[in-house]
Amino acid sequence: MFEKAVSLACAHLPALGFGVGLRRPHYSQVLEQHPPMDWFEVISENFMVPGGQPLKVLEGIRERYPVVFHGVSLSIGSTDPIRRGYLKSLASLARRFEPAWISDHLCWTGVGGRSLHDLLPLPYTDETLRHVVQRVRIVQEILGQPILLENVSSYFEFANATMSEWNFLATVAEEADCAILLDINNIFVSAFNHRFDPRVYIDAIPIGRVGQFHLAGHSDHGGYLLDTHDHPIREEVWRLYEQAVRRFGPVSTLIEWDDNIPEFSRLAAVADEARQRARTALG
Amino acid sequence: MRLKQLQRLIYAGITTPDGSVDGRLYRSVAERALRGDVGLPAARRLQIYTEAYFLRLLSCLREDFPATSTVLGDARFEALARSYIAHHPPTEPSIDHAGRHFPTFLRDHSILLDFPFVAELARLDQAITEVFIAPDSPVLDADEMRKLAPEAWPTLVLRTHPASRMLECEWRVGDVRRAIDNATPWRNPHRERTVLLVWRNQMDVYFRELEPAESAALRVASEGAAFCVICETLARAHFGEDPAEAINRLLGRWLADGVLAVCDLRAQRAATRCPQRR
Ligand SMILES: [Fe+2]
Repeated sequence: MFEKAVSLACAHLPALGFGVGLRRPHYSQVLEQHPPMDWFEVISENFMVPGGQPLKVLEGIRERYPVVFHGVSLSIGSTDPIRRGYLKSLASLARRFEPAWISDHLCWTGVGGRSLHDLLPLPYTDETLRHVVQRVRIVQEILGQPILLENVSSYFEFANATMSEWNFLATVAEEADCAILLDINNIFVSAFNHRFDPRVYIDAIPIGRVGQFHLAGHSDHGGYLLDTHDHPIREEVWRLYEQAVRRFGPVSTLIEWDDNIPEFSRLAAVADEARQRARTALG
Repeated sequence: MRLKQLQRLIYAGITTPDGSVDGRLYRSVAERALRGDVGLPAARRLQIYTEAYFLRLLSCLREDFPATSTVLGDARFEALARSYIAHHPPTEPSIDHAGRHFPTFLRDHSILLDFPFVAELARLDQAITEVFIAPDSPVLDADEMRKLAPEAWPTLVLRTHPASRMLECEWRVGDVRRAIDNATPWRNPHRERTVLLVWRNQMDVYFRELEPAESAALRVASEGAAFCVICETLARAHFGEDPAEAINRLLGRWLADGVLAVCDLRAQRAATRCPQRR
């Protein structure tokens, strides 16, 4: 049923190719040497500042590369009122830098006016579904464009959940008409932590909705996997990525690396590996 | 349980200190709202978030207060961070604001018995971070100034740049931060009243101790003041040096450093040239 649905949200999203998350240790190298890279993803909040170096850096990057905004504090699933001030400054940043799209996470980050600065999973119930769908519509209205919502990695699930995360994500995207940023590593991490088959997750996501992939490394803590973005991508995650490429096609792919950040050239090599693997997967 | 209650419960379970009675209570209720298994019980799953919450905020505070955290050392800084976060839990969407009450928190803390200068040092750390991302605004430089007729100078209104701060200190905390920035051993600072100027030139942030007369003049300029008023202030406060020379020398330095803002100058020129315009 989902495969046939026409996705309005994804229709305008360009295929950007293979990019990496822009991180501080690489700012000067990218600005001065302009290494080849299809595109960069930046953390929106890092640039939602009054002035100074961050905005100057983004200006320089934007002159040469396509850029996508990736937020971490939209808190789409919170029961607190939507932060209109936050959205307004995000919208004005977007007007200035014209990102190819704006994404954030399908999660909540705080409640009662307090912030946990973390991406927490939601209880996947009808109540939550109605709540999130309504908020996505409001956010898209304020931003004047569809957003992409990313599946988070998680360590607990709610006892009152009545549907799976993949059903919840797919239904939110369909009903709110937003796109999906599918984080392949997050699916793998959550699958291990919650004992489900990651391939089932991928097969349940509607094809026309996926506008971007994330790939990253995680760390093994024995009883659970932690989404640390500080390791190379594991072979099992690459395999899952290949499955996703076969299902969703040549979707824009991004490498995330947030800790123990390697040299830029090594990061670029990982983006190239994604390019190779996608090419092979597509035959 | 409704979504709102669930979120409040999980929030309390994650943030309430582990050892407290409340912490244990919230946790046991939160655990029942969650699903766990033998491999990873609900309690342990919740704890992953509790640990991440503190560690994330700790590393943010460490980054924003590099000199303060170095001076206090890991164990002391961690304990203070824990207590600070409990008193001032983050409320803003961006984690960059998490440490905004930290200097005032230290000012009322018993840590001052052992490190009497540390609240001022934290304020300096904070000012450096603030100035780094303060609003952009055109600076007044020597060329801009020279374009003006000399008779226009006295009434010219000058203002310190929005990307600058003046800090009144009891201790020479600039010496401590300087030593730590240079990765050299730091010493307890001398107790001496100083005024620190933190400013941005191009994209880099600097700070220095101001001369007494200079700080008086810049304080006047921080509210926006006519050039003649700034000169008078300098002349009144200055001893030993010829006032005209002092003004020349300091103005030259302010213009070179980009400490003064240009906005009022533009407005004035627009007004004198074409009064009808907007
Ligand atoms: Fe991700």
